[in-house]
Amino acid sequence: MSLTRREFVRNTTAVSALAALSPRLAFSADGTPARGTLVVIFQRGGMDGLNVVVPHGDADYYRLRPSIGIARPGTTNGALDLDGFFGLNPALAPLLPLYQSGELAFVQATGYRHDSRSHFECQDHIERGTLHLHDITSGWLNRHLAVVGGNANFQAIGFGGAIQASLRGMAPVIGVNDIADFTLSTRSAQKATLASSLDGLYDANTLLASTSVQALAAVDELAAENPAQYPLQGGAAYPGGRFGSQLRELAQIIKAGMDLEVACVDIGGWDHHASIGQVLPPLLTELAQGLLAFRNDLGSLMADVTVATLTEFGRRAYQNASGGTDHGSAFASLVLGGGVNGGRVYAEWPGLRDTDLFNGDLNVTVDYRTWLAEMLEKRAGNADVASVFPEFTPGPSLGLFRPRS
Amino acid sequence: MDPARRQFLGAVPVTALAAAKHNGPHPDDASLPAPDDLSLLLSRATFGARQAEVERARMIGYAGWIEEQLAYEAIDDSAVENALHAAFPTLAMSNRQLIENSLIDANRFQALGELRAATYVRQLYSPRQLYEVMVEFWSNHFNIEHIDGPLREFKTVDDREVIRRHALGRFRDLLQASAKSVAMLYYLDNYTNVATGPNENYARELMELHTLGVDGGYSETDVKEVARILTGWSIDARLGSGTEITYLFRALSHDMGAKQALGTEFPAGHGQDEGERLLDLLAAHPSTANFIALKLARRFAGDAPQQSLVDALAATYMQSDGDIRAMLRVLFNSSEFRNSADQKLKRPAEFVASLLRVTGATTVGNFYRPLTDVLTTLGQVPYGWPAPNGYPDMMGYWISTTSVLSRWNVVFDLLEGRLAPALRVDLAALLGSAASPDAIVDQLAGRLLRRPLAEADRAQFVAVAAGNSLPQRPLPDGLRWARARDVAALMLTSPYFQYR
Repeated sequence: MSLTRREFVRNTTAVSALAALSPRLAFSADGTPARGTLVVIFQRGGMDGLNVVVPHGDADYYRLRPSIGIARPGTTNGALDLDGFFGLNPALAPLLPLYQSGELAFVQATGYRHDSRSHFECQDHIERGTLHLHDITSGWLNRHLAVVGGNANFQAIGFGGAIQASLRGMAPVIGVNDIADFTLSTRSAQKATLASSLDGLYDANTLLASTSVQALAAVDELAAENPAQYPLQGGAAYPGGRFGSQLRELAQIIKAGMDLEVACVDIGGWDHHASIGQVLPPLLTELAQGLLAFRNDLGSLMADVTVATLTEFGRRAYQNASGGTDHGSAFASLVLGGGVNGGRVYAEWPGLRDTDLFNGDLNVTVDYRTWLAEMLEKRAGNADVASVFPEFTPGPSLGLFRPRS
Repeated sequence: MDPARRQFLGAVPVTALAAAKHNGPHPDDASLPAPDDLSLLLSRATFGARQAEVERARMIGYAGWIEEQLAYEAIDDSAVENALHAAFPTLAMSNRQLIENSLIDANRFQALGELRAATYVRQLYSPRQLYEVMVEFWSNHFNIEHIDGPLREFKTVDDREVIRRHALGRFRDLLQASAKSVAMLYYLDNYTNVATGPNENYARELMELHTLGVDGGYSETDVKEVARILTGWSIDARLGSGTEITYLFRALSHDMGAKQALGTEFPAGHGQDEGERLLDLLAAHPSTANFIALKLARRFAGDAPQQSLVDALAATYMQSDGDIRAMLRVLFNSSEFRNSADQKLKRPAEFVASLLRVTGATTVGNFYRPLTDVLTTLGQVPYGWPAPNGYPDMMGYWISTTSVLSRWNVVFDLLEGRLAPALRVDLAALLGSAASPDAIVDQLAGRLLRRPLAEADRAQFVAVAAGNSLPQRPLPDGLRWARARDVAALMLTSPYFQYR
C-alpha cells in the first residue's frame, strides 16, 4: 500500500465514500473539536416508559395497571415526583439530583406511530430513522456523520460485539468490545511483518477490506493514545457488567481527546412481559449507576457531551395477567448533558382513557426525530438534518437543548 | 420487514467502501480464486472438514456425500454419544430431574454447562456433521436463551426432544413439538397466556419468527386472535408432587369463544384442538414455505440468495409436506449453491469450530471453559443470543473492527500456545516434511485452506515463510517451526479462511 493505514482510513475511505453520499460535505480544517459528543444508549427489548416516567397525576394509569403501577409520590415505594404530574421510578433515585440541577430531562410519549409491534422491525425503524423509505439501508447516526464529515479514526464508536444498525453505513465507524483487547495478540518475532501482510491480504478482498484495514489503523492509534492511562475521577463508581465497563472505556476515550463525536452503547433485558415489578428495578439501577458514574467521571467534560436513551417501543398501557406488559408504542427517553435544558419532562400528554389509546397503547405525541434533529443541530454541528431524516419534517423544536457556544 | 431489505442492511456499505479504494482496472472484481465444488460443500455443510472427512468425501463424491449425510441415522456416532452421556448425566434427564438436580447448590449451572459442552463436542467430533449443522440451524430458528432461571434446565429437554429429534424431519413435527416444549412455553411466556389477560409474546414470535415471517401476511388482529387460540397452553409444574414437568392444556384458562385468524374461522367451544389446527395451518402456509426456504438459502447459499433458489426450495417444501431433507437435497444440488463461493462469512462459532477441526487441534480436559471464553469474546456462545430471533445469519452484523481483530487474535492465541493445554495444535502433523518456504506454504495451504491462492497472495505467504532466506532452500529447524507457525496463522487470519 502506498498510504499508511491511518492515512487511508482518514482520507481515501472517508472522502470518497462520503463525497458519494453527500454533496454538502464540510470538513473541519483544523484540529479543534468542531462538534460535541453524542452518546446514544439503546435499551433493547422495549422499556416500559409508563413505569419509568410515571404519570401519577393521571388516574387512568392506576386503572390500567392496578397491580404493577408505581405508587403515587409520598407512599411506600412510590414515584419520586418530578413536576406534580410525572414521577420517577424509585430505582432511578440516583439520577434525581441531576434532574434537580438541570442536567437531566425526560421526553415522554415519544416514538413514532406505526402498526408493528415487532422488536426487530421497530428497532430497525428507530435505528435507520425512517419508517417508509425501505431503500435507505444506513443508520441515522451514520448519515449524521456523512453530513458533518470528519477525519478521526475514533470519530464514531459502536460498543459491543457488533456495530449498532444506527451506525451502519458508508462513514467509517469503529466497533469496540473491550479496549484492553483491541490489539494484535501475536508474540511472533515477525509481528510487524504479519500486520503488514494482513494489510496486503485484505487489501485485495472486496468484502472485508475496509473493516480490516480500519481495524489495523485503530490498533495503531489506540496504542499511541493509550486511553487506559486515565484514572477514574469524581468518585465515579461504575456498576459491574458490560454496560458499566463500556461507559468507563467511553469516558477514557473522551478524556484522551481522540475527537470522538458519536458513540453507541446497548443495554439489554427490557422485554418485561412478566413480573415487571421484579425485573425492572435492577435494570434501572444499573442504568442510573452507569449514567451517574459516567457524568461524575467526565466532570467538566460533560459540558460538551450529550447522552440520550432510545428503545424500540414502549409497552401496552394496560398490564397483562403475568404481571407484565406486552409490546406497545410510545416510549420515554432520558436526555443528560451540559447542553440539556433539564429539570423538565417534555411531553404533550395524550392521556390514558380508552379513547386516548392507540391500539391499546400510549399514543405518540412527539415524533422521536423531533428532538433527535434538535440534538444534532444544536449539539453536533449538523446543518442538514433533512439528510439524516429524509421523510420527516420536523415541527417546532422542543427547546430541549441549548446551542453550543 | 422485507427480507431483501434486511439482507442489505450491513452488506452494501461495506462493499461500497471497499470498492471506493480500489485503483485497478477492475475495481469490483477482487474476489478470491474459487474453491472447487466439493470443498465448498464441505465448508458449508460441516463445521469445517477434518482431513479424513475430506478424503472420504473425495472417495464417495459430491452427490454421494450429500446422501450419506442426509441418511444420518445410518452414520455411527455411538462413540461420541456414549462418551457424552457417560460424562454428562444431565443430557438424559427429564425436566423434573433437571430441576431437582439444580436445587443442589453445586449443580446450579450443571445442565447449562453440560449442554453447552455437549454442543461443542458434537460439532467438533460427530461424524453426523450435516445433522449437527441443522441442529444448530433449528436451535437458532427456535432460539431459546438458556441463561435465566429454569431455562437452564428446560433447554436440555428442548434440545433433545424437539430440535435433535426433528432436525432432519418434517417442519410440521418440529413446530408442534416446539409449541409444546416446556422451555418454549416458559421462554415466550405462553404458560401465562390466559383468557382473562392474554400474553401475546409467543403468538407474535410464532408467526414472525417461527413460521410466516414478518411480511408473511398477518395483522395485529391476527396476533391477538392467535394469542387467544393458544390460551391455556401451559406447564404442569406442581411442586413436590413427583409428577413430570410437562406441557399441560389448562382448559379453564382457555378462551372458549369464537376466533378468526389468518382468514380462518375458529368456532366457539374448542380447546387444545384449535391450537393444533392453527399450528398445522401455519405449517402448511405458503408464507411459511417461503420463509423457511429463504432462511435455508440464506444459511447455505449466501446472504442475498437468488430468488430462483428460494422459489425452488419453497416449492419443494409445499410438495414434500415440509420435508427438510428434500429441501436440502435440492439446495446442495442447485447451480445457485455451487456458484455461491465466498458469499457466506463464517460466523464466530463456525469460525472457531472450523479452526479447531482443520488444524486437528487436540481438546483436552475441561476445554469447554476456554472455548466458551473465546466464543464470549466473539459474541456467539451456544444458546446465548438474548432475543427470540436467534443469532443473525448476515455478514453485515458480524463484521466490525472489533470482530475482525478478535478473530485474528483467536488464531494467534491458538497457534502460539496461549490456549494450551486445553486447546493445542500439533504443527508437526500439519507440516509433514515440508522444510523450504515454498514447500511450507503449499503444504499448509493444502491442509488448512484447501483452495487455490491468488499468485500475489501466495507470494505474501512465501515472503513471511522465507524472511531473508531463499524460497526453495530448506530452513534451519528452529526457524522452520517459527516461520511455519507464522504462515499457518496468517493463512487462518487471511480472507481465505473467513468464508464458509
